Amino acid sequence: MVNESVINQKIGKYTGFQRFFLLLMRVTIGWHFLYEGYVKMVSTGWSAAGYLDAVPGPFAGVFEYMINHAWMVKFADAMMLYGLTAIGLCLILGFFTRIAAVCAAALLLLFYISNPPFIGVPFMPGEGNYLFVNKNLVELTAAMVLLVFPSGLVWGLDRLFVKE
Amino acid sequence: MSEEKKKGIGRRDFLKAAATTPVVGAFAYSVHKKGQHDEVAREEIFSLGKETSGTNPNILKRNYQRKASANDRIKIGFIGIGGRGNNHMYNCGFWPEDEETPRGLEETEDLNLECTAVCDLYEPNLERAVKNSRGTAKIYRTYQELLAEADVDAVLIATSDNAHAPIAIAAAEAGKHVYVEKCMTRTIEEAFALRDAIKKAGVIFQLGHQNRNSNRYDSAMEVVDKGYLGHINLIQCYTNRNSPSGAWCYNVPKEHGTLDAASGARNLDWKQYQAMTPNPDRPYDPNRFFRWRCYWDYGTGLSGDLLTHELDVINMVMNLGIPATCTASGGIYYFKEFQTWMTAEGEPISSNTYPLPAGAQLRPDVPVCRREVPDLFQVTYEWPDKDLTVVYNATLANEFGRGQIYFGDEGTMDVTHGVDVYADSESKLYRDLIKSGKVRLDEPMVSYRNVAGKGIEAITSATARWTVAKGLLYTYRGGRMVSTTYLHLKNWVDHIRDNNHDTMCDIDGGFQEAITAHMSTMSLLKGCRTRWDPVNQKVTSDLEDQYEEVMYGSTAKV
Repeated sequence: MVNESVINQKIGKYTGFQRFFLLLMRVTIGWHFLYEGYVKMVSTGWSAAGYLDAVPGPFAGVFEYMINHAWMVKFADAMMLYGLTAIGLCLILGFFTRIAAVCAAALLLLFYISNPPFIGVPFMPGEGNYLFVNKNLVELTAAMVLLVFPSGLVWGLDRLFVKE
Repeated sequence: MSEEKKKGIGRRDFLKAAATTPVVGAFAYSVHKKGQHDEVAREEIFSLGKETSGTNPNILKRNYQRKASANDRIKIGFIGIGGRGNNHMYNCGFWPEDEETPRGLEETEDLNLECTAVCDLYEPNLERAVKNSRGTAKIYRTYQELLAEADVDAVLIATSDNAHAPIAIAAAEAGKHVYVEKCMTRTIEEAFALRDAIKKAGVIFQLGHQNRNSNRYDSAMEVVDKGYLGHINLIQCYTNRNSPSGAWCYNVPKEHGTLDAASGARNLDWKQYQAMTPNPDRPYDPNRFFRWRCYWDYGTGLSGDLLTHELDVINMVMNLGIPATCTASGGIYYFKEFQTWMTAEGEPISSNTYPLPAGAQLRPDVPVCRREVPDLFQVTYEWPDKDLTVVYNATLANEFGRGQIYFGDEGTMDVTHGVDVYADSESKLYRDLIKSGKVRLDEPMVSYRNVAGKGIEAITSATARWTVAKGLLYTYRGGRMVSTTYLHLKNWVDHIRDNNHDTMCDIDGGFQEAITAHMSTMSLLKGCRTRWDPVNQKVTSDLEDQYEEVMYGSTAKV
């Protein structure tokens, strides 16, 4: 039987409610990633090229560099297709949770800088009003929270791999 | 305690580990239900279209699959290697060794061409072309020499418009396949002559309207073919530009001069250039060489350069042919004079530079450029047998994007950013869908975009999308960005290999393009309506003489 005290050490002493909402946050972020990845997998021949090409703002140079190198575009496509799906599944199932959380945070950071809600940056249309803080940033912070509170150990497949 | 210290996984642990697995199940079920719902909504809209009529031959020409192998190398000669010709070379696979693969050509099939000959009137263009060919090209300074001596199977012509017809006709008579840039010819007479020459010689011909390959027109043609717009009665198309280079005031290089100049650079064969116009004795004026589109001797301004882009696409989508009547008007309202500047040290300043740097001075070697062609221009074309009007309007002093819109009694199609189809508020076909809210009037009923799918996917629900509006430069094939010029050249080369004359923009399409454009020039210069007589194959007008005087005679008048 897996050692509860080991888990308690790793995750700290939290109430049931605290653990529950931590878990809920993990599952919702996971679902979000899984659906985004799924949609791209299902539409045959999807490529990030169009999006990369239209990036505005101070970090546009990064994406311009990417789009001028075919292998980088291929890599971006693979990340979007498989990476998003894998991160989503891992977060939902609580499998390699910390790695999934780091990857999620990294991707969200890329999304954030590709469309940064800074003053004077003409960002791509979407709903809501944002100034420096937008939903990507909020989700990015949430992913970091997931990283430091390893909920996969509580309700998730990671539990099966806890050493005694 | 010792009992609980069992190794392995207990039931409680297993439950806690697998606790979130049902979420994945819920996900799969939700996605399935959504798919069903979207499918139903989409099917309802598409079911209102008619069966494909199959009457537009242009649909079959798309995405041509070559049958023959590409093992034999085709030898290409380039005639006219300025900005556009240089671009052709890149798209054929010829670019300098020290440069990276150009954008849009990263994963394209090798056309297996060899560049054996290059011809241009301006020496630096020739040097650049040889560098592009990586040394395989031989230099020819007249096209006659190239056609007589060079080892070429086919030629690409990207000279100024006045030289298109003479060179293309000579090439056809020499048995070479021909790719010529738009506008196909400068005059009406040349259009007839070239059509006859190409048909007689039986060579494979392609007119350089690479925009046809943009995959948004697959959707546009399907929308029209299936009758989603009802009876299309009006099409609007536009050109908006607002820069000196957009108005064809290109840069003049620092070193330029005629072959017989008293001093300075002698790198431009002015005599040969001007000999191919109605006024062979004109003295040298660099504006007339480097900014040739501004003058009737060499081009036709807005009608031959930009109107043709729009009309050719409309002709392809609607399979219209030549209009019955044409009325045009226009004038020079903005770019009346253009001065060319250099820095205090004598370095040329590019035309679009604003503001001018301190110390800038007028270049003594470039006179003030006074164009002859209008910078504001509008044309109305009518096809009474199809109950259709096409209206074109262009300004070179405003950059607002206006695009191309098809108006039908059931719906409207806007092909500016992709393809957007709007149901008409008075539509009978979509009335029930509008009433039930399945179709909204304030957003497209169907939208085709390049963001997802093998090029085009029809999106009937509002989803976030990002568009890349580069129709004239790139399109998407299998999710990859590809140069449309490459596709157009490939279409031509594939047809050469298959000995198939039905290229994407063949001589008949080219003839229609040229006549349609020149009808507007004639209407502008005569100030009256022009007509196409299909029975006698003639362009006529309600007035006489002035077109002939300008295009075939002496001084230009607007």
